[in-house]
Amino acid sequence: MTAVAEAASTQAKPRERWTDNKWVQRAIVWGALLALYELLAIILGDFYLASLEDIVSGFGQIVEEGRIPTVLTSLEHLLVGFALAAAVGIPIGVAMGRSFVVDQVIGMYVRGLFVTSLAALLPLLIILFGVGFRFQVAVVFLFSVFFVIVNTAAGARAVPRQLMRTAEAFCVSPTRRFTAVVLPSSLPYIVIGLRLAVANAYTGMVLAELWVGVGTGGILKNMGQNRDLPKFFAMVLLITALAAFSSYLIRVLEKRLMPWAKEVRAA
Amino acid sequence: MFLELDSVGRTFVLERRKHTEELCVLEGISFGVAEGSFVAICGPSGCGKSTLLRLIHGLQQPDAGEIRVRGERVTAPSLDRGMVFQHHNLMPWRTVIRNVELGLEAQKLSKAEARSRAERWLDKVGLSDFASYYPAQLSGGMQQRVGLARALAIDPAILLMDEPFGALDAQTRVLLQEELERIWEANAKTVVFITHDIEEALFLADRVIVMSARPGRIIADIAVDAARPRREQWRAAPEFAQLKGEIWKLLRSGQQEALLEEVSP
Amino acid sequence: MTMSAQRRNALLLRIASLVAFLALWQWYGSDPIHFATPPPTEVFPALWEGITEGEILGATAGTLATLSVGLVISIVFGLILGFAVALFPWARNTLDPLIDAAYAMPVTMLIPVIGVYTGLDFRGRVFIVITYVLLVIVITTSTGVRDVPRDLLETGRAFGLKGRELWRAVILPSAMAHIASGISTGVARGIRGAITAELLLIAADLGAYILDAQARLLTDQLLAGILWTLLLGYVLYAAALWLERRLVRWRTLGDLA
Ligand SMILES: Nc1ncnc2c1ncn2[C@@H]1O[C@H](COP(=O)(O)OP(=O)(O)OP(=O)(O)O)[C@@H](O)[C@H]1O
Ligand SMILES: [Mg+2]
Repeated sequence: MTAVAEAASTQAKPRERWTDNKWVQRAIVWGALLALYELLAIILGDFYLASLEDIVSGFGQIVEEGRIPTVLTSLEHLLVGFALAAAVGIPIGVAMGRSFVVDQVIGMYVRGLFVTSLAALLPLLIILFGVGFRFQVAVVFLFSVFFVIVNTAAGARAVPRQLMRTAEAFCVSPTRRFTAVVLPSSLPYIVIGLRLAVANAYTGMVLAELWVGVGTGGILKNMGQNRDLPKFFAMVLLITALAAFSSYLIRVLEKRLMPWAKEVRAA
Repeated sequence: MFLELDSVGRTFVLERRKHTEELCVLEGISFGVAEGSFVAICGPSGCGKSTLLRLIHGLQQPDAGEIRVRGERVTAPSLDRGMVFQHHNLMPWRTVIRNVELGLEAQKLSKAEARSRAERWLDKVGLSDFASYYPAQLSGGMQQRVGLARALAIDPAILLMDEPFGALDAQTRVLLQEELERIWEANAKTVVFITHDIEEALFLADRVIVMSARPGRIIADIAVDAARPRREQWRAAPEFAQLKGEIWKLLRSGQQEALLEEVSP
Repeated sequence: MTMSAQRRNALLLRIASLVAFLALWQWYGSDPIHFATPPPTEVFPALWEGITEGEILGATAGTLATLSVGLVISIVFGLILGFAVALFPWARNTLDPLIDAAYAMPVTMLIPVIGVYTGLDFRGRVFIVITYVLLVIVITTSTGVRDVPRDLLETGRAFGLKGRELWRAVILPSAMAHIASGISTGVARGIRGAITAELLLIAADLGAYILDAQARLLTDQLLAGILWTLLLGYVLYAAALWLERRLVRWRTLGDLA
């Protein structure tokens, strides 16, 4: 029970009922939602909604039609763009967090692009990079790099001053100070940055592909235009699962690599 | 008796993943407090002092026994009892003066009346210059004083104080102790004061109740008959040192007893 | 270094950085090979022209209309859902996982189909803004209401506050900090949603201005439109942040204790 609910209720603890079990509740509500959806799908017809059975068989059709290799190619672009964003973003973030001059010189551009609408850059990127591999990677890169930089910088800035002092007092060399103090204590922030970045990288990937009508986005566009909704929804669910899984993977890696890390808030 | 506790007990039920665990925190607590007297309660950390204070206030209910104020059973919080919390618990979004007004809002006073009352109490704890500050802009000692003013502003018959000076440095603590004694003398409230600082208890209280380690039980009830106002002379008196030694021994034996009990259930 | 000296240095560095950036851009853009990125001396006049001839301002007004309608709807429903999730165990147990799942979804994927449900015009764009903003508001509201510090709730009760009073004096102010930051984030996400919709759903407002320049290969106008759009997003977020700080001023005070 949350503190608020507790304060609102009286002291006496009510007897537990079977409807208090969260899985019972989920079964009821989710079941009802699915039934409602199915009903709507039947009433509105194929053109508006795909029924649940159709969506399930949509998965099979996606595989049969050989869409999976296309998805994998998209993921490859995603991975390249994301890796570039991490490789570029982390050093820049650390530099921004540790150096006043760097922060002043590039901080305003980074923070500006971090909060604004990067989609507006797409028409320019097309002129610069064409519509192929380089364009896709560039969009993914842009959509993820600022999350990495901003969070890394926040982490590097948050290195406890005492730790730095202690290291200085023990005459630890600047390079060692960096690897032994700055990096480990900003790691949790870097990981949060990477997690947000990967989620946004998927948005970038889909956006770039929708724009030029290739890859997974291209498939979605076609399916949407043909009102091939069972396959469309199956595809959406697949990509969503992949996005959620990527973020989960980073979380698992974090737990593995640095079990000491505390929860931190994203910048 | 003005305030009476009658074999009060409190057990927490902790819900673990598979089973539930019972933690008996207070057991068979009985004592009475006369109107206008100042009682200190001493005990080792975790023995249930804060819990006891919550029970007296009515924020929680005992599982056993009964608590009465003026013969009436305590079943809910009341503005008749003012609480100074262990951690200042000021609302960070309210200025100092608005924090002091917190309890007055439930008292249906007019705005102007509430404000003037809050100002009066803020002045008594020496913080009138800080009325428009936010709690985060004050020092720890100042925050505790705001908490004290907040409790006093509702003009309670009983003042419940939970280690209000626990987190302070020695000098500030002594200053505030003297200030509290002054305020108490001027206002004749009944005070129940929790502390694990024996000197603080002896300096302030008419009576020191000593509790054992968990489950908290009363192991001694010691009268402190020193003339008031006490000021610094009392701290230097030989009786003071003697009482201090006595309580110290009690606390140690209480803790050992509890340890032995935990080993052999 | 004193405070003011540090501030002066920061300002100097920023100005120097801006000047260097413009100079670099001018040098790079003046080279005819880089025809796609004309220099500032061409972009800024184009921007000025777009503004004075009313085209950019009109488009901006349209974008802002989409954004504000989407924001208002998201905030209203976000608050309702957020409070429901925080207050009713039923809502929390059943909706929390759904919200998490929906949050993981790149909502841009829905663009190819939503036209059929909402139309491709204003309603469609507003809908996309809502898909970008709603969940943030729900999540920050429910955590805000759920995470009211226990001690403060107890303090409220100790000083005689119950029910509505407790909400007014403790729960709402405490939740407000989260909600306000959720709304700022919502503004940033909302403008992204609006621009994405204007570019991808059907060309409209600022999106149309940019796409039109691209189609006609008017690169100076294209860059002017992009620059303006980026600045708009930045200014809106900065304004939201400023408002947030005003609203929950206590939050930004240093904790001395
Ligand atoms: N709400 C609660 N739920 C479960 N256990 C609790 C709760 N409140 C207190 N306890 C337990 O009761 C015991 C006594 O707590 P309490 O805060 O009353 O101690 P205390 O004597 O005030 O200690 P201290 O001197 O350190 O403040 C502790 O072991 C604590 O873990
Ligand atoms: Mg305590």
